Amino acid sequence: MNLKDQSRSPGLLSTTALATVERAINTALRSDPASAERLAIHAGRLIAIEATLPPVAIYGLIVEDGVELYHRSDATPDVAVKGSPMDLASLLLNWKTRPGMIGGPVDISGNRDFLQELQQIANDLQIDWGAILEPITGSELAQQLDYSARRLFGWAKQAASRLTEQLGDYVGNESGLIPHRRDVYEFGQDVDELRMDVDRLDARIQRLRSRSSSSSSSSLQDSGSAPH
Amino acid sequence: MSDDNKVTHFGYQQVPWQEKQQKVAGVFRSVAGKYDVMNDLISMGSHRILKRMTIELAGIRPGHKVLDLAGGTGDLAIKFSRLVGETGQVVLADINDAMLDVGRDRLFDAGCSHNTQVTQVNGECLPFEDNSFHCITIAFGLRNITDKDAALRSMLRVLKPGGRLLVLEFSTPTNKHLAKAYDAYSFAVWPKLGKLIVNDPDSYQYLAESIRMHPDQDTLQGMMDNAGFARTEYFNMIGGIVALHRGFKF
Repeated sequence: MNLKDQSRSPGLLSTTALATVERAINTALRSDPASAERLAIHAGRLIAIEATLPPVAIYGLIVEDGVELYHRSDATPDVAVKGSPMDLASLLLNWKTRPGMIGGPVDISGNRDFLQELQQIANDLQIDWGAILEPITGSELAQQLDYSARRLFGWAKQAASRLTEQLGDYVGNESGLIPHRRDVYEFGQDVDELRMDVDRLDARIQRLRSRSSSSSSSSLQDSGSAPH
Repeated sequence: MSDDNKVTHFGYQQVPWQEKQQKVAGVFRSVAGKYDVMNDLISMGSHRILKRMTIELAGIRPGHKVLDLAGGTGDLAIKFSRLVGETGQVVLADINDAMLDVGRDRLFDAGCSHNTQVTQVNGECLPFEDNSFHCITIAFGLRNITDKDAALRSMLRVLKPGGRLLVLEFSTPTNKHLAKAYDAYSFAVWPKLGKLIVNDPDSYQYLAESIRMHPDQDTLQGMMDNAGFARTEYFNMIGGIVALHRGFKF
């Protein structure tokens, strides 16, 4: 972190929002002890999630009883992921999208096994809404709400996957608004090839020039040394 | 003036210099058991957010050694313990034994005993070697120290070169309307909550008064400069009701 970043005043609202997200994650984890236990094995590890637009960085420290989220950290993360919010969400929540259709690829550096395990835990997390709501609503209503919430979240997850998949299809294939990743890759290859051709041509021209200048200077020397 | 004749403030009262420490100790002994509950109530939960912001500016990495001074019930120390990891160390220090008892239990319950130490200290003369800590934090504690200049000098001494001090403390609101509302709230509501929750309205009357006697943002920054801290700055929070001061040792 540079000095400019260090002198930035921490935002009250963004800190509150992050605290709320942290609380929600930890509440969800408490309601699924099996997932919490799997996560606790990684206590002490740090994941950095950097969204490109809007530019937001979040650092997640795994602790014995859940996660702690921060906007900044001076520690070296065990794994860092960087990409657009949609791509990051589809990566971390395992949404089924066509690769590269929504935005660019997600940059991943560090321990990929750790990231994969986090993805798996997020995917397997079964939130017990009944246990969370029981102290507030009583057991009967909590059970009903739990059932409804599971259906709602299941539907929402499927809908998000379908939406991103269809959006990717539309934007990539039908509207032609953005090129397919394969096309971008091939275009990049063509540009690289052209650049190398130009470099080779330039080198050849330089060589010919130096050869012609050395031959003309030697012919001048030859003509200068000839008897009059 | 000799030390025997020196006076200082305890809230709005003037008391002999030597007595303030005992009086402050009495306040915290009285409220230690329900200190966190009261903090949540009087700050409406905002103290947790302010402490998070302090942690974010602390720049703590695994392996660091951190002193949480006036750390009381240990909420910052628990977070620091997790951030410094197995190779780091956190010292929870407070002058008040009752607060430390609560802090020790909380550290133990949070599974942080492996890399934390609990120590009863006087902030004016810290019993640590020179250049010991990467970071020192004092959250809502400097206000209660009798000789703040001596405490700041002592903190500078035990900081490592490159280390930083973070002082989170009540300060002076920057908006006069906010200041009036805050005055009304703190003087009218806090002692009543104190009476209701810990049966001690006087401690919370002292809290409200001591905040008004504490140096404002610029004065405290000047005191840190005078003590020898470099690159001092402060961040106003909630319109200046609380300010976070930071300074480095170079």
